[in-house]
Amino acid sequence: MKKVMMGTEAAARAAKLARVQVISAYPITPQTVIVENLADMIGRGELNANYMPVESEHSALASCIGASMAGARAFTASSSHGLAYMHEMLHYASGARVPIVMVNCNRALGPPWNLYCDHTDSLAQRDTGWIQYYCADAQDVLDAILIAYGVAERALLPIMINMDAFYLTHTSEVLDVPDQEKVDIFLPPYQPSTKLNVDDPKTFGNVCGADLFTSIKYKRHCDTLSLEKLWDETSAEFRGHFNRLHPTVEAYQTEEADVCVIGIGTGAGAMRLAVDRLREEGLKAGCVRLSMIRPFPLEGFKRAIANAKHMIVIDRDVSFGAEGIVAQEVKAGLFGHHGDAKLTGFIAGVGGNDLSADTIVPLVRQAISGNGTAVRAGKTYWAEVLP
Amino acid sequence: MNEHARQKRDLFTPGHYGCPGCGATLAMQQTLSVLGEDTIVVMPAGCWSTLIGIYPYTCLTVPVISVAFGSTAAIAGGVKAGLTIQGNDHTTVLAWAGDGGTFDIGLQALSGAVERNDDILFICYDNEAYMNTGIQRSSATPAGGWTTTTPDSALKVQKKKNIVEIMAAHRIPYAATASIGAPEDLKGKVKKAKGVKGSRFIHLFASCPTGWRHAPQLSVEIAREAVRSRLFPLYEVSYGDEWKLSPMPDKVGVETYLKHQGRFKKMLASDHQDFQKQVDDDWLRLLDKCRP
Amino acid sequence: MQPKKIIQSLSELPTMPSTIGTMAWNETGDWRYLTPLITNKLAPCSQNCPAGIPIPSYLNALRNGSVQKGLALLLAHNPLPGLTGRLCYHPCQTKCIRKKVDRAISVQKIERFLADIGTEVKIEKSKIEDKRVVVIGSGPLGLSCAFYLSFRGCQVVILDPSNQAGGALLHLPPEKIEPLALANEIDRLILLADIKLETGAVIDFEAPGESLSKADLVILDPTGLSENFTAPVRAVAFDPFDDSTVNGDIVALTLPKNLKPFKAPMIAHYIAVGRLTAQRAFDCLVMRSGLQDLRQSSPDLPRQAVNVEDIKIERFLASDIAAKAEAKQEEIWDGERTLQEAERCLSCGTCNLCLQCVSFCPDASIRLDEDEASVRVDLDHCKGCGICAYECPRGIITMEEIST
Repeated sequence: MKKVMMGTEAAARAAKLARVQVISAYPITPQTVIVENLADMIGRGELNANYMPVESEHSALASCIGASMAGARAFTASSSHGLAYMHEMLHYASGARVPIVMVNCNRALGPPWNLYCDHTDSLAQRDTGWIQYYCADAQDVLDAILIAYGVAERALLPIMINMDAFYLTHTSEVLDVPDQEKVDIFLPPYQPSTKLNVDDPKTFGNVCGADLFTSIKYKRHCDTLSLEKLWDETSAEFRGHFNRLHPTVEAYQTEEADVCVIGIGTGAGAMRLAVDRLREEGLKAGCVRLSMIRPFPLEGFKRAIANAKHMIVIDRDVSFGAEGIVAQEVKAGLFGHHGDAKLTGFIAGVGGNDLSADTIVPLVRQAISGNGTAVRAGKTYWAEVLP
Repeated sequence: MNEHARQKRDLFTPGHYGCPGCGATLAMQQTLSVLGEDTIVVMPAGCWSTLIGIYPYTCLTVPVISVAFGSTAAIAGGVKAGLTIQGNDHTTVLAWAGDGGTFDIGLQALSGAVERNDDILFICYDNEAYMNTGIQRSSATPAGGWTTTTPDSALKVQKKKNIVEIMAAHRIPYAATASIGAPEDLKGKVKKAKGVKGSRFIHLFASCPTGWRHAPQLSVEIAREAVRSRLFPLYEVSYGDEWKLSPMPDKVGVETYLKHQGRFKKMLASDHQDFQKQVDDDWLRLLDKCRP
Repeated sequence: MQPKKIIQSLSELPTMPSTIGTMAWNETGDWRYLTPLITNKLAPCSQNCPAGIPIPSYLNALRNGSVQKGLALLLAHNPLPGLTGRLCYHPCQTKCIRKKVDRAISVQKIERFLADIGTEVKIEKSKIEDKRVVVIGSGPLGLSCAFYLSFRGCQVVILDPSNQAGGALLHLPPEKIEPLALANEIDRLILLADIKLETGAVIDFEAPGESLSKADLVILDPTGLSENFTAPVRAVAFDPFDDSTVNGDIVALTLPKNLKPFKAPMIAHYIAVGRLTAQRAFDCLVMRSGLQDLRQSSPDLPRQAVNVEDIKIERFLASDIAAKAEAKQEEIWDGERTLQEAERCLSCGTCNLCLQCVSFCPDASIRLDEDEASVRVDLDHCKGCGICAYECPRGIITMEEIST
């Protein structure tokens, strides 16, 4: 069924289609529409779930963990400082192996305060053991949440579905909303074999000694690595039902590209427009959008970049004192594989600055020629900086 | 025949790492003897989450989840929400936190949970300091009490925070104080709390030989002395409105209680008088609240 | 100490960090340097009782509804409870700790009730051995002596020259003891101990009858024979308090000054002397026959007395069991009243399975035994904190340096 929706409305609709059972969330711009929608759906009886209007994000994720441990399908959403606030519980959720799906709206971290798109909030959490997926558009948001539950509940790992502040959260698009019956076939109810169960009492998460600690982490690491393949399998299944594919990596015109523009999120749309223009101008450019950052989809990434020799990574984030986080991830991915490739990293499009073909093309040119307005600082070039 | 004795054996096994004479373990045993098998325990970092046993072994045979320090009430609320949405209304969700996880780092989540009237039984086993990490002060440490962060050179000035008053201010259906030194009273209150829906809170006095520097065999006696001296009086509050004293033996002075514990050794005689005065004043305030 | 189940490979590792077993394998008993010792000790009342009756034990039996068990316990230490229940000066009540709470237990009233309710009791007896003893005289001392010898396994015959059994008891006025009650007491003792009683017997040591001639030992009961009775020349005097061995074939018991002449209120003393004499007589018979007595411990060995300071009076001050009014001498109690009084007993030094120790153990290491008749320390896990010893309100548990 076709509907016009914002990304946040799509997220709420997906949670409803997934028949989530416990929702615990704390409002923060620009996530608020999600929780407002869900509260209303529950109030009107459209969704049979327990809604917990908790007093903080830390408690929001904590409550979801509790609910999931009790065997219920749990959902939450946050952004920016809210996500930062729940940092401790992010580690806990992945360590506890609970299949929670959380929507994060990528928004800048202050001070100074800023409500606009910035990926530092979720990328700074890449070491928490959560699977991280970055959506391209509102359809991706809706579909990815459904796929994520399928994957999470099989792997017993939590998944963060990221969407750009305002570009996705508050922009309406035409979406294809799947039928509930079809979703029920794709996504059956959550039936964990292990949970908090008085008939099979266990203690979860008590102190562990050196004998087993490493093995537990190792097993988790292996399970996390295997998720790239699991996502591909599950999204193939999804495509079978709904005829849409959501890969871990999306390549555009990279087959014979020399230069590859790389990014995450909605910015990739502008990157593709930039690629088109560059090709018209005679440059063999291509574009790779990484949907998945954790696990780093190495196989998909290697296929996507093909034989490109110059990577141009546009980061809407930064790891202060180092470089753009996506650039770092790409470098780590390339190491030992594409050793002779060149990588130029840009910090651009943060805090409300748009990415468009007009802004991206000059960056690519600067990467190639060395001339341009982006300012160098260490390993990165920063666009949109005061002279 | 004492059914409690039989049940206790089943839900609580020996071999745990608690200190000899640990009051917190007595508190759990007495509580579980009433709550029974149909209980899920949510416990944060603290003495209990360490003494319970080393992975993959545990000394409790009810389901337990060992959670991050400040998250107890939130996780407990979530567990309950998860159970009820699956149609289970009968399992008791017991949030079992120490004074640190209740009065301090856990206070926000607790306030949030009880404001929502989440259907959980929150019991704070209070040993009056962060004992598990090595006896550092908490807001539950009494004034004048030695801890490693309120050493002899800088004994604690602030009075003990009154957590039951805070719970009462949230108007929860049931809040109470209880003590391992008054087990029948404790069990009666746990039983009563079990039958109430909504947020229930019990502030449970649990002696600590290691942190309070007292002889381990006196753990129960010291808890009795705390009640007798009205330093830890027994009472209940319903909906924040109805304050009711529980039966207690006649009031005595605080001397015996103080002299049994090394943590009060450096308290000056003049401070004893202040201490006694504070206890008396607080007792009168409580009596006032309990007046019909 | 090793857990039963150990995770040894990745495949055995649960995906969620969940436990697979309990901590019971961890023998925290290694932490201990003092060990709780649970021993029943003599209560002050029992300490003071001339017959050493374990009073709290039989009162506990009553409280548990085992009237027959209570009676059996009583009879094993005092075969004439109907007499003591009427005549004794009850020094047990003088020392009763319950006095410090409200009022002493009226032990005598309870004893009398139990004595009067009947004879349907069975008491375990040792195997019958080939020793024959004749007791001459059926006063309380002789009856008691005969009773205990029989329970040691001897074949006992009581010969009394009078036509009625009872000895000095027969001279007591009916207000002190009704003749029918006295007769019932003696009948029960005889029946329980399976003794042959011959009244109106002819005692001739020169021309002994069948019983006398077959006897390995003859004991003369000073409470059962009149002053006219002359002991034969070859009788050897035996003072049960002074002499440790019995000599000769005919034993003439001599009593200390405080027990002569027969004083009814001292009835328990006579019963105790009878038992002591039986013990000495039996030892003598065993020694003479060359047989080794395989029984290591005699039930007569004194037990350790409870330390009165270890009885936590304050725990009982809030007791619900209020004292009823002081019992009048002439009152005869029924079962209900008796039970009410038995419930007031603090059971000093005697475990009555109140299970305070069990409920206060932080390590679940002191537990009710499967037989549900005693508590036992789990030595593998007990950390020796001492709470059980401190909390036991009746002084039964002490912390000792025991190398286990």
